[in-house]
Amino acid sequence: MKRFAYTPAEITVKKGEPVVLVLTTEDVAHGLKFMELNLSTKIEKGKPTELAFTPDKVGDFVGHCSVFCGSGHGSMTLTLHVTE
Amino acid sequence: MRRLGLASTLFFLAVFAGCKASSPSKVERGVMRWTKHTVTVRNKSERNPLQPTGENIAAGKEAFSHYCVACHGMDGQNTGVPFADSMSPPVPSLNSSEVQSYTDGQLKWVIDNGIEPSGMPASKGILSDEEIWSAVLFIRHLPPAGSLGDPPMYSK
Repeated sequence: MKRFAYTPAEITVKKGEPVVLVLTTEDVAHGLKFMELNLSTKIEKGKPTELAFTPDKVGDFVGHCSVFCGSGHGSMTLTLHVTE
Repeated sequence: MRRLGLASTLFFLAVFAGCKASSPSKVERGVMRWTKHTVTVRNKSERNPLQPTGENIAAGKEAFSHYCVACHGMDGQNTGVPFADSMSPPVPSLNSSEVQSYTDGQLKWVIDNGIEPSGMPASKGILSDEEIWSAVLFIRHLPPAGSLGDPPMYSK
């Protein structure tokens, strides 16, 4: 990720299957927070960060950067598709 | 030629005299307040999706601290903001009845869109919806004036 986008911007996972997202940042510290899934982490530059979880509900969930990173911070999103 | 010069001078003097600015009267302030609260600031009926829990208010304080503090102070009451009174219009205390009488939806709208032609900028895209809603919670639960010190950018 870097200001102000996640790459990829969309990820599809399956309900009930454990997932580990490995997050790295190319510029400054960022975060990733899915309020509906009660998931949150912060990512420091040069320090890959793992976010492990098992999705327990189906749907599309939008995660936001949770560490203020500049003018496009509020539109920096990652969409998680959870399917059956 | 002299007559033309005199006429031009008188014309511009009249124009500039008409442009003289003075502080708004009580009636003018009342009209502006009514206009903003009932016409220009929209989104009156939208409710805050976040509950006023300690965690959400703390998140709002954090979101507020990113850059709102530059004009509103750490406490939302202009503490330590050197230009708050000299702006036109002055930066309002967020604890004032003028601000607190907006609905949550209107406060969200103001943060999203700003208020022209005051100094209040639009923040949509700079902060996420969740952060703005949490900032609205913080504005509803402001700490005592001066209790959080000055904004870091103005601290000596």
